[in-house]
Amino acid sequence: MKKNPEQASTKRTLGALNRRIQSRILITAFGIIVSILLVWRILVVAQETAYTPQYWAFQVINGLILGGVYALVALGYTLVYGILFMINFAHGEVMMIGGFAGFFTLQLFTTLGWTKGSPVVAALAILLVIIAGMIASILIGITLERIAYRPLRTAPRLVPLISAIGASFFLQYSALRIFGVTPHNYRKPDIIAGGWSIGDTGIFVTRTGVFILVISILMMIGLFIIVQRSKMGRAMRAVAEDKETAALMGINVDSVIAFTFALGSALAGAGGVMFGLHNTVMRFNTGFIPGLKAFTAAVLGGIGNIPGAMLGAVLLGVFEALGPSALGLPTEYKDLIAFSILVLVLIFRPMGLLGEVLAEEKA
Amino acid sequence: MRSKDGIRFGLITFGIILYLDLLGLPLTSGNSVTVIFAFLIGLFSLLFLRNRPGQTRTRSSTIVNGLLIGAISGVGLMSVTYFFASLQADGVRVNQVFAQILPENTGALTGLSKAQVLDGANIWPGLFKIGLAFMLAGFLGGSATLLFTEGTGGRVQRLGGSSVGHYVVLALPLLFFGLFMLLKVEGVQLGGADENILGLLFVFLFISASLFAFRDTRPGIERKVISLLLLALIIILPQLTDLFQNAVLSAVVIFVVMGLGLNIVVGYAGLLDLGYVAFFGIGAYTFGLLSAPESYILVNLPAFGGVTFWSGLPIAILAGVITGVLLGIPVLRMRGDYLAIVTLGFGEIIRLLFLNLRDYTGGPGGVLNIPAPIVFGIDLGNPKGIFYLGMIFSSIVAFVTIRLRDSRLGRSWIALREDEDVAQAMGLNLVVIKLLAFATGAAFAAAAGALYASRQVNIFPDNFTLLVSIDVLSLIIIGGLGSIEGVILGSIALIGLPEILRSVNEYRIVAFGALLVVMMILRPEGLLPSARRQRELRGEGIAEQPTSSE
Repeated sequence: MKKNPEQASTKRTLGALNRRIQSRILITAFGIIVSILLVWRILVVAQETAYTPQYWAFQVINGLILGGVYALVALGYTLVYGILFMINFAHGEVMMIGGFAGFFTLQLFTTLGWTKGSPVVAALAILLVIIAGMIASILIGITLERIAYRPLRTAPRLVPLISAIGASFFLQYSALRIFGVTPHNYRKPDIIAGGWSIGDTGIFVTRTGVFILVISILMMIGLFIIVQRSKMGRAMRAVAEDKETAALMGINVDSVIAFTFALGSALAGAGGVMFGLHNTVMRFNTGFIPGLKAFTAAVLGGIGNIPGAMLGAVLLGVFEALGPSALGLPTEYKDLIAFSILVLVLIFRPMGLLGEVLAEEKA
Repeated sequence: MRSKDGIRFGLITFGIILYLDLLGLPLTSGNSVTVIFAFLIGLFSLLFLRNRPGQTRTRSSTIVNGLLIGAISGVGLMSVTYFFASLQADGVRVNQVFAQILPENTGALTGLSKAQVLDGANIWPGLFKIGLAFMLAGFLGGSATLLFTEGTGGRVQRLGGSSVGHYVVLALPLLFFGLFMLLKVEGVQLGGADENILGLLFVFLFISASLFAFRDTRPGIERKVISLLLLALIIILPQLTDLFQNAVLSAVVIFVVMGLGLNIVVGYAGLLDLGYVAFFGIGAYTFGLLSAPESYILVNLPAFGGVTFWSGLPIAILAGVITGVLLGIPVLRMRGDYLAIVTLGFGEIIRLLFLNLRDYTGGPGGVLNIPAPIVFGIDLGNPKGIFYLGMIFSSIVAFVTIRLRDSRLGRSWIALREDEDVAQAMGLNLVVIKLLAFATGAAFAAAAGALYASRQVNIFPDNFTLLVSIDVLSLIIIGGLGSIEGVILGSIALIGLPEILRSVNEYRIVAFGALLVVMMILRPEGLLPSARRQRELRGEGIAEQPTSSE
């Protein structure tokens, strides 16, 4: 008995399709089980510990602030990934350098007495601190691209990634040597210290928090305008789409990529200053974990997708702020929650919340 | 003519020198810092100004450019040092911003004492010395490029291929072994108080040279004789080395075992795993918790009585394999960069669990008093014993690796690394081969972990940080991805050498980082690459766009 070859191949295709459907079902079932377990845990904890609504509101606000900082860093990952399809592993360190530059500028202004002066001078001083952080980060970001990534643009994918890991450690431990082991404590200028309580709800909002949120939103709007409206933004999108064609259209691909790095680094530098103001401590490894989390945020929203990075960052910030209390875990586990989110997203929706389906192929 | 180049290179050189100054090189090297800096400047001008193919420079322009490099970096460092010195003389504590810029740093550069710097003594003579030394170095470096005409590089390369070169390579390990033995002879004074360190260096050189010699042997009788000879020397080696040398070498072999495991995951299967330390930690903790007298399990289950090294080892390996598969399942669908970050997160999760599950793992207090391995009544709980055991482990692992590499499974891994889609289209079951890669790598790491636990006696969560993963990854990359000899060479370079270069140890991670970047740019295939990898990265492969990124 001879089988009809056409029938056999149809059968095989059906078999493959079946297997794919089976794995889909398996993953969905796994997802349902995980969600049920999570909801169950949250309900149990909610009954045991009765937190007040004010507590939750406070945590959500905290999460939003943190999300704002993550968003600034996450955008750098997304911008670079969108153009080069590589993860700038050293991006967290770019943020750390920005934080240090901001710290020293702030120290300088505090010594000069600017931060205690009239509100206008103090506001200007803070603005200059952020700009100093951005400039330092831009310099580091561009140097990084020039030295560690540009020569490897055509190499196999593992090669630039390893180079990025090397750069990350180089920057971290150089900062350790140059700036010393002792943590550097941001002294908040009076203008953004303290806070307001909203009516008589008992919810307290810090001025720093509001400041961070406002600046992050302004920066994101600025980025949106640059990418969508400016000539350079158009060139960036063209290079992201197709490097060769863009080059044929007269776009200088090298300078567009350098500009992208500069843009992402500027945001990271601002994020570093904001992170310093929020956490008040700057250390050589301050950039590492926030960098990973910002990456998680970028993946959560769909890497390569700018609104996705913002959404992912805000969601991640809120999850991280609420997670430990909701799941009844000590706060030391908040890093664990962020990493678990990363793993779960990559299992269930590797293209992220707003990503295209195409992303799965690139992942 | 082209003085623009000189200015550009001068600024780059100045940036590097300034970076080293801020890093605290004058502080660690004392008064010899000017010489070191001058040497570096000479080297940089040699590198920058060398004749690249298709580029011709006239004699005078090269020398002028060399002078420019020296002058720019000299004037730059002079002004920076003057700036810092005047601040310090005014009583400003510069080290609050730049931790290494203490008055001693300025003193080392200008040849003054700390008190003189603080008093604001005249630093101009010292500064001019720097400037002159740098200009001289730049000039010499620039002139030296004229000696390196095109033929020289070729001549050095040819030596390796000639028959004289061949026998020199074969004799080198014996030479280093002889030098090592010479130190043992009574009355020979070499290296003085640091004799054991010098001995260690010769041992490292002997092992490294053996690797190169083995690679250079011709198949047949020559290979058999040479490898038997080298093998015999390596087997008696632990008897000749002292306690300190054995301690270092035992750490090196443990990292060889780990490196061989990661080599399978990264080098063969191409799955970039940055959380490899997790399996190492799980192996160590499994064995530790099952055997240490005060561990959670033994305290609550006295009847169990604990395991010996040999019954604990399979359990540790099994635990490693199970976690390897468990990690493997969720990351099956990921590639490259995503995989790297997720595994990194996983490694951190495991360490955080060791740290935070205080009741079970002892938290920051770690697991104490882990028993030593015992063979036929011989206690191997000393550096020599661990060294022997590590050598046996790494030989077994290397043998398994070679057999796996040449098997159907090994070829599937390489296919997977080359192109996942094509591999799947060829009918490979990606799920199975990926999980097998993770499981094999994890098993090796867990075995290394158990050995490490009994070497350390006490283990703590801090032994299992991300840095271990980075160390292992760096060593296989520097040695050459996918190459077994490369792993050994990499372990010696990254784990052994820092013990010799104690003063450099502070810069170790900085240097690693820089080394990884430089290696990726200049020699992505590693020092002792596997033949396949070398073809891939040196041949036409490098000019191609990676297909997966299109």
